[in-house]
Amino acid sequence: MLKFILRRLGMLVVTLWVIVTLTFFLMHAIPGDPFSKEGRMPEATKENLMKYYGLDKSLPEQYVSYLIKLTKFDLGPSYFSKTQSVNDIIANNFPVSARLGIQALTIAVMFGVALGTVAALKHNSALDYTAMVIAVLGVSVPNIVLAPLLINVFSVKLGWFPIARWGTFAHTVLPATALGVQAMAVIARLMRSNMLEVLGQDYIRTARAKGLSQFAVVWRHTIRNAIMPVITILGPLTAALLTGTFVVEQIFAIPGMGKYFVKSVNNRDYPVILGTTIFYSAVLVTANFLVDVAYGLIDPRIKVGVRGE
Amino acid sequence: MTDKILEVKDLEVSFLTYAGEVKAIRGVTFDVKKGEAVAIVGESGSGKSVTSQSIMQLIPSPPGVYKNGEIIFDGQDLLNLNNSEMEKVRGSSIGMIFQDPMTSLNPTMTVGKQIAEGLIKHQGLNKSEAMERAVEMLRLVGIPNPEARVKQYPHEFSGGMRQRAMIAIALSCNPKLLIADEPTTALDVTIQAQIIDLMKDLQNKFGTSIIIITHDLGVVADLAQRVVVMYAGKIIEQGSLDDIFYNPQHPYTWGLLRSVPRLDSKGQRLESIEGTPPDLLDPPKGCPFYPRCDYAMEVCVNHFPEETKITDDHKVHCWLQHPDAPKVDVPIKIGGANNEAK
Ligand SMILES: Nc1ncnc2c1ncn2[C@@H]1O[C@H](COP(=O)(O)OP(=O)(O)OP(=O)(O)O)[C@@H](O)[C@H]1O
Ligand SMILES: [Mg+2]
Repeated sequence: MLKFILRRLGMLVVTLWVIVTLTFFLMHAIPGDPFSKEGRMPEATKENLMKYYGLDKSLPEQYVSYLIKLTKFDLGPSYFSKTQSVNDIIANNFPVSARLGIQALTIAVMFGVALGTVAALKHNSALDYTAMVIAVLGVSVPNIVLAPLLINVFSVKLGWFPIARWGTFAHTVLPATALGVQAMAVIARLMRSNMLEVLGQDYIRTARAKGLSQFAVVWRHTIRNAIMPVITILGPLTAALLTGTFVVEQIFAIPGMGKYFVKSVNNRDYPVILGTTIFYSAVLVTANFLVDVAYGLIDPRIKVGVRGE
Repeated sequence: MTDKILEVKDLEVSFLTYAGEVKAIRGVTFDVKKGEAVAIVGESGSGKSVTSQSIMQLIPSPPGVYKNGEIIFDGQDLLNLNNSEMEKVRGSSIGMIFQDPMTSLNPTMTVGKQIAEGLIKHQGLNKSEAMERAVEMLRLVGIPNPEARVKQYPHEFSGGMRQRAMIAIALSCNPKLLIADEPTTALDVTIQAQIIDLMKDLQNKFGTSIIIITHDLGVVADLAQRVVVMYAGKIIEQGSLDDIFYNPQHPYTWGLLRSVPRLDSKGQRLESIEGTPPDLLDPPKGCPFYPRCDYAMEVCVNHFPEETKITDDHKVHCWLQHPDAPKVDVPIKIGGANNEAK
């Protein structure tokens, strides 16, 4: 298991380096530079700024110095936010996005697994059909449509939750729901088909032949096996939820990372683009890594695969 | 009366499918005495598995329905029990082993836990007591180094060992009846013999009654004292091992026996008799075997023959038993080459 973890960690670092490199050169391939938009800036000032930030050096030189700073976890200054470094921007705003994403993920996993399980256990009943209609709607309605709908019903009409902004737990409910519904629907469908498959397995018949109660058969033998593929997609789903916060943050006026990322691309704020991209990549790659490890812990067959090598 | 552990009477089981009602079991009556091993034989689709799973009420419902009959086990009719009463019978008084040991164990649970589960449920043991018993059970079924094996997962077991583990699960609560549905079909020939020997040993040791379903007449000869021959959801002949092997009465039984050159050649599957079994969506009114039977008469088409008792124990459903029926020569050498097998 340790060997497996170490190898995965190594791969993780290599992946991140590739992402840094690609983003660095792609970003510089976008025409324009950070200061060309403020057209009336005197040429001399601009040159000073470029020099100050090291932009007058050749690309390879810039790349190397960036990598050196990166090893010290320094993501550099922001060209536009005079007071905050990229590290500050992430430290101040990512917790908000992360909370939103994690709450959305919690909603998605809890309700998705429950919905899929119930649907499978009541296969071909009205309950099953209802659950699957919800799931299809959930997958096909984008959150840019769902969010205003939720606001309209639960804030404007019913007045249960605040319309927008950030602060109390009540503020988080609607955005987290808007963000999580799609993932929930994906999980529900996956869970349902896994459950149906597992319920048809011979070892479920063995479990019943032992005289176990329906509950024990479902809980100990079915859900545990059916949930594994759900765990595998948790990595990509976490990714989708964390990076997908931009739209929801916009709609609910939430002070998360999304705003900075979009702004930085428009402004060619190189360190912010790079910093946020790298940060997000690190989050995603780590999420996938953790899922792999968790999977290895839960599924005994995987350990042997590693041992056998 | 009291020497019977199980009496199945007039059992009828159907599956309600989109295509219609599949009448899988159409009036099955047989019994199992205490300490006896009964073999159920018959071609694929004849209803052997459905019969055995009906006893345990493991038939998936829907689509399965019990239409008629009684399954009297140890004095009570299992078909009258509710779910939780039935759970107390399953795995405790009746154990079951299935055909494919590769898929019959849960891949994500240790073998020990899978044995312990039933003990915890039925015998009220706590976890550590149950695990100790699991080790004992593994030792009993001949798995070396059971203390280590008990903590392993099924994928770390070979096919034969998994079937031994299945037997350990089935016997863990010391059931009165063990049902084995083709327990050796999926195994190598040498392993097959070991598993059958193990079942024989355990039957001698604990006096467990056994229902064994198999295609392998070698296994039947080895293990069973009585044989039930099924065809198209009906029992067409039953009797002691000697009755069926040395004095078979039904042309279908002849066909089954003829398809095996020597009874002691283990691993020999029954070859199919020419023709195919009837469609159970619309089974024939008369004898289901008549389209394939060399001796079919007019009466066979529309009338299913009543039971004829050759002896108290040996019963057959065939019009050839009728006093007016022509005498026919049994087309296989009775006993014959098989005598040496005894
Ligand atoms: N779930 C089901 N739905 C519909 N029909 C079924 C179902 N299960 C069994 N049957 C039918 O019941 C009949 C008897 O099947 P069964 O499995 O008992 O045969 P078998 O004698 O065990 O055969 P084999 O030797 O192949 O195991 C078959 O015609 C089969 O198609
Ligand atoms: Mg079968």
